[in-house]
Amino acid sequence: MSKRFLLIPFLIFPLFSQLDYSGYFESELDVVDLKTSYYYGYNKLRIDLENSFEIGSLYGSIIGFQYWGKSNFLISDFIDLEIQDEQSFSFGDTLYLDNLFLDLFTEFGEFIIGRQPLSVGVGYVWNPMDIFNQKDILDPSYELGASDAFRWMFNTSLITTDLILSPSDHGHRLDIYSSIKGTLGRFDITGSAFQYSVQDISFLENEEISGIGFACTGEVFGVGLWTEYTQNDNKSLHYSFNEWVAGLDYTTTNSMYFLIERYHNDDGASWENGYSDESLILYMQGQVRSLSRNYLMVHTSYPFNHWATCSSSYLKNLEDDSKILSIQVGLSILENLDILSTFYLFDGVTHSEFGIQESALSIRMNIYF
Amino acid sequence: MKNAIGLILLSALVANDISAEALLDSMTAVISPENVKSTVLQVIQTSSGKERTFEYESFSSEKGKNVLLKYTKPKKVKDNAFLMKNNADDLWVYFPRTRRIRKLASHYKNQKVQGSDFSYEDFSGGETWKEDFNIKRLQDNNDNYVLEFTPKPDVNSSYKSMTAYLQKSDYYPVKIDYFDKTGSHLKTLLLKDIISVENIPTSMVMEMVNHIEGTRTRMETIAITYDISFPDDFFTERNMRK
Repeated sequence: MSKRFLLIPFLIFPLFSQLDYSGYFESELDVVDLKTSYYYGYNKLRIDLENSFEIGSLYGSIIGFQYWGKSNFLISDFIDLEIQDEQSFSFGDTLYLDNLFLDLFTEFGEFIIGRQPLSVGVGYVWNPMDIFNQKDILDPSYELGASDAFRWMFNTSLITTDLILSPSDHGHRLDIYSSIKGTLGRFDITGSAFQYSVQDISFLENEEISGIGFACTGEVFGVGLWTEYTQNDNKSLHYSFNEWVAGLDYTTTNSMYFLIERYHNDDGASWENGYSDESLILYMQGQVRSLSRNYLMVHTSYPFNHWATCSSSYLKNLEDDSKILSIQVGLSILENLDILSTFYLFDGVTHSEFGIQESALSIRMNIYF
Repeated sequence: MKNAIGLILLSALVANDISAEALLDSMTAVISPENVKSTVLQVIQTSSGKERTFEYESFSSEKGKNVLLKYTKPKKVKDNAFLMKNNADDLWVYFPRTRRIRKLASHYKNQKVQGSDFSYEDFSGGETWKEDFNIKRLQDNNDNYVLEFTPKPDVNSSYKSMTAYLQKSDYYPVKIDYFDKTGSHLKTLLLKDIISVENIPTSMVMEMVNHIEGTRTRMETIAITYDISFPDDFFTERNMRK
């Protein structure tokens, strides 16, 4: 988006009476052992502006990135391509408008219009119903980018309906998501229908996908349970595929938290001592939600005190047997200062998904204002 | 003079005759107003004496059956919201940065609210105490009736027992001791600065002292009103985001 659009919120917000701002500064250092060791990092500044009025709010977010250290990467550093023609990509300093939307609360429901964060589904790492985003499997709770959309949500004390219309393919197509959610006993149950498009591997054509979904979250004997399922129909290539995720969590009386999540994607590639270049490229481009078909995530965390939390995650590709173990220490040193250190250990045979890297260390600092 | 002594003896006898259930009913009547809206300052004091301050708005209906908490300060947690329904049996959390709402299972009830010494369970309405706990009256002290609560076998509680001290004058609780599953004295809730707000006795300062971790959390009520009603759809996802 052109930088001149960044002026828009500043032009609009003063029209309203109460401008509230918040945000954070984030600085991250990553040290990676990947064929050779190198480091890179970034400074990120996010400023959120909010102006509330009688029936709603106007939001805007400006995000700036400044990169340092290594900024040019080879695609083959991350995926095991057989193609010898090395493709590279690089990060450059950037400033952009990530959110600008109007949130209106009326007797006919809540209307959200503009560039906005969209997040649907109940899974922790994977959300088959989310046609707008794909989480970072190494950091699934990190904020997601915004999408241009019109959203209408209608609540009663019994049900919530949700309709999202989002333009795609440079405005030539419309992604549609609709759902209805209700409560049955201790469970929240959601049914959804959706239609979206993705670019094919040539980047020249779009594939149309439509589907239906089901999600359920609740508890049995005090254990948190959730599941999310979609049946997808690729109308362009005339095939169907299913995706599902199922998980459970529990917190002990001494605050130790456990989470397990299992994910399956028919559209993922099969493992035959390696993955095809086509599968790898489709995954890198975000056209499939996962490289492989079956995954398992185990996560634990424990808050030592008000200042320190320790957690660990274990992510396994069940097809090629590669895995990532991460250990994380979070420090909340001051009221508005967080420091997060994460050590990653990768393991897997040659050509496996997580076997290409050795280890990595990430240190992230956030200052909120 | 004889009449006065007789009245004192009579009232003492009557007081001794009050059953545990009747005392609980009286306590519940004074601490569970139908609807409440308040703004609360939450000050957490760590074992090293350092303080961390939060501020939230609280909305409660049906005598504490439904509770909505929305944090307003500091900026790091601003707009984080928690919705508790059915006396905290059903719990949802809202993350404003992702605008995502997540349902939490009841095991989360035992966890600390924003790292404070209050758990979600501590926010559940007093109306459920009669259903969830066996009640026993203990020996009074000079100023207080004393009640002991032990959870019924089918109730999921993180406490083995609780002991509440009620003012004899108006049955308002001034102290509650919490004992963990091993019987250790885990926490003490002190209800201070009790004043009348809209003719309802109200503790303006509640302090939870954690004896195991050496921490304490003070809840100071900045503003409160009971003269409020909520529409049917108030305690829904919509108002977590609003």
